[in-house]
Amino acid sequence: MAVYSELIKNFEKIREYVRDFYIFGFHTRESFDAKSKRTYDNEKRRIESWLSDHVHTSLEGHKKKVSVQVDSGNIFQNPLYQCYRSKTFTDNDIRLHFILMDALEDNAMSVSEIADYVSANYGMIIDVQIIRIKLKEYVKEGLVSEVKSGRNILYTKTGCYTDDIVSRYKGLGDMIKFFSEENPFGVVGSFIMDKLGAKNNIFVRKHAYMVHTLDDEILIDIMGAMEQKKAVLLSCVSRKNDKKHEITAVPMKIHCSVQTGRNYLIMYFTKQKRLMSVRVDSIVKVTPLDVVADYDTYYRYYEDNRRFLWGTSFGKARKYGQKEHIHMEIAVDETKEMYVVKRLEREKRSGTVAKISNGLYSFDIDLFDANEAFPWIKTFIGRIVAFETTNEELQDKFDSDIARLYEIYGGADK
Amino acid sequence: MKLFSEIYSTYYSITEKILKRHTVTKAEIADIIRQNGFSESVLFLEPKLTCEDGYGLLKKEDNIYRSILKKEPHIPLTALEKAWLCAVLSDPRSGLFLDTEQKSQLTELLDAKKLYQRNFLTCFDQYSDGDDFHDPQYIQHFRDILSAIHGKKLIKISFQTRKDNRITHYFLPTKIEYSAKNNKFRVYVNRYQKRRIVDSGIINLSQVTLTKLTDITPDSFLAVTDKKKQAKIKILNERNAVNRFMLEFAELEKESVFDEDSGECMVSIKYDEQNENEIIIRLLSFGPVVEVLSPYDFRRKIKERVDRQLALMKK
Repeated sequence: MAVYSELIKNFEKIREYVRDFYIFGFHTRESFDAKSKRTYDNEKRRIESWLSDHVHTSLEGHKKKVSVQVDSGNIFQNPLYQCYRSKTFTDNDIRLHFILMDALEDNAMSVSEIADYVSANYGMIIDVQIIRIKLKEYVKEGLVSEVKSGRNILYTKTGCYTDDIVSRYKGLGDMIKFFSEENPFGVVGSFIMDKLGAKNNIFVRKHAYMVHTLDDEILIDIMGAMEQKKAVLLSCVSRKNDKKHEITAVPMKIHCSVQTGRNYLIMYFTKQKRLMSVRVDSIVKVTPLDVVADYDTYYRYYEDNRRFLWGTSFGKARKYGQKEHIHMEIAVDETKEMYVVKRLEREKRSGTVAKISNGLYSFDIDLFDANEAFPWIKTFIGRIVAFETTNEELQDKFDSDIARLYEIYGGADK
Repeated sequence: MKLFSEIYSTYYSITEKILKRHTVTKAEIADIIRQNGFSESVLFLEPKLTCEDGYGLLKKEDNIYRSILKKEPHIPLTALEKAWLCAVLSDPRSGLFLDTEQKSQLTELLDAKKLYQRNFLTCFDQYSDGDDFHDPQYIQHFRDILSAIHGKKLIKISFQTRKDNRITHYFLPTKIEYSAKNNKFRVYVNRYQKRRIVDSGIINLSQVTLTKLTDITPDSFLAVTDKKKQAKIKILNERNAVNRFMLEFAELEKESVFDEDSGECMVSIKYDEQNENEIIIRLLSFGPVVEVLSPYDFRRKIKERVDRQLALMKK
């Protein structure tokens, strides 16, 4: 039987549990029916160990539920970063890490010289091949650089240190603290802060979706493909029904929502000749494919069409490319409610705002999917004088939503 | 470049801290692990550091453990960290911390390709009236406030209110908040009169017109505690509302109970009183699939809007 460890080999294994505990926090052991009970117990124990200050357990009947509770406005470091600090390793990995960093401090040596040096100075016999593999790995990670000397390759430590540059550039330390809470990849800033022994105690975030950090590994691969203008094969698990599926397409842009907590990848499907979006948190694996010769043409097509996106939806497949119009009129008391007009202006995206008459303003927009703007439209409830759309279903939905809201809240005190 | 790598792990980081001490006792090792590790790390890491068949990085002499290294460990920046710094330096907000000349020097020194291009991403629902991070005055105010936080000194701040009044007071800034949705910075401050704290508040950095640093250290400090309110909300099993709501409100402290039979969810959220209007707007965006049950005054504010809407539609 495998021995329990706090550390894990595969990040993907833990991603779903952390997300569930953080976002929902109401599922019990029995709800995770796709996994074995032992797997659930081990993952729960690990998450409790990593995030102990934020994990809460409570009983629902006889069933225990686990939640990760964080008030993001009052926290200086994203606690979910701890998950990235849990990678498993071998005894030789950690030994070689510190010994190589020590041995190569002021020296440039070949692999065999390093092996001899380690044996003479640290009393350890480590196989030359193991040292060679670790050195190759550290060259990739940027901790070690290689120089050719005649027929030999010599290895030495790279020479750029956090404490040096932070003391040389006033303001850099604070910059790292601020951006360490940024999405995506803020976790890298937190790694640098570990090296400095620094803690952020100045910058906090409002409207912060900390859970996005769990998608950073996926984003690094997607952006790598975008950089090289390559297509990708994505392995996905549907957020709605847990079904696995694969997508082959050309990645165009990451559309991040700073209001709903959902991030999407917009992609071009060459066979169907259309754009589509996929939730980033539904992607479990990214495989880069070939370079796409027409990448720039597809990108221009995306750029030409993005003004018809409210967020990320291209509407129903059979209606692809068709636009739906929304017209809304808003009543505003201009003596004391001009902030509403300001709201319209700053939140209109590609829409237009115009003054119809004193106290009456209009908003117009053409979209691939008018449904996507519907939640925003409803934020003006109490002021909407007219709502018209060419999407008939949405027109009916607006009327029925207002009627249902009135049933819930309206009339005599409810 | 790997993001999930042992070189960034807690165990490596703790081991580095211990090796930096050069000599340590077993009790000190356990203490360092407890302070810096996960809650069970001491069970797993301590034996690996101290036992003969462990990592072999510490040698036991009497009751002392001595590092086998010749020097204190000093780990350089990795390629990933350099690439991240280069990406960050291309963000307009980096100018709040470093001048253009410093940024270009640093970029040259790091000599790395950016981890990502900023134009690979777009925040499509970010408000369009964000702060101007290139404005030299704005940058100066930001830096003065940052300096006052570091030095714990009072700073004289003048700012424009929404009603266009100009206010000037002495403040002790305590923290700086950034909102990606608003693309704005705000400063949490305590207001002082004759070195005595009077009250606390929040100032939008874009409304600051003047900052002047002082050498005054206030007599008393006060931790600002936000006033939290709690609302009880019912989410119906329609339009994927439970998923959407839980994700959108993930940033807030909350407790939830899910009814597996009906698929409905009851959630208690805690929010700052000053953000109440914003929360109302966000809840309204869900329409009838989300119902505020309590508190009464919060529910009443939604009811007023719904009543007003129906009246507008009947006209």
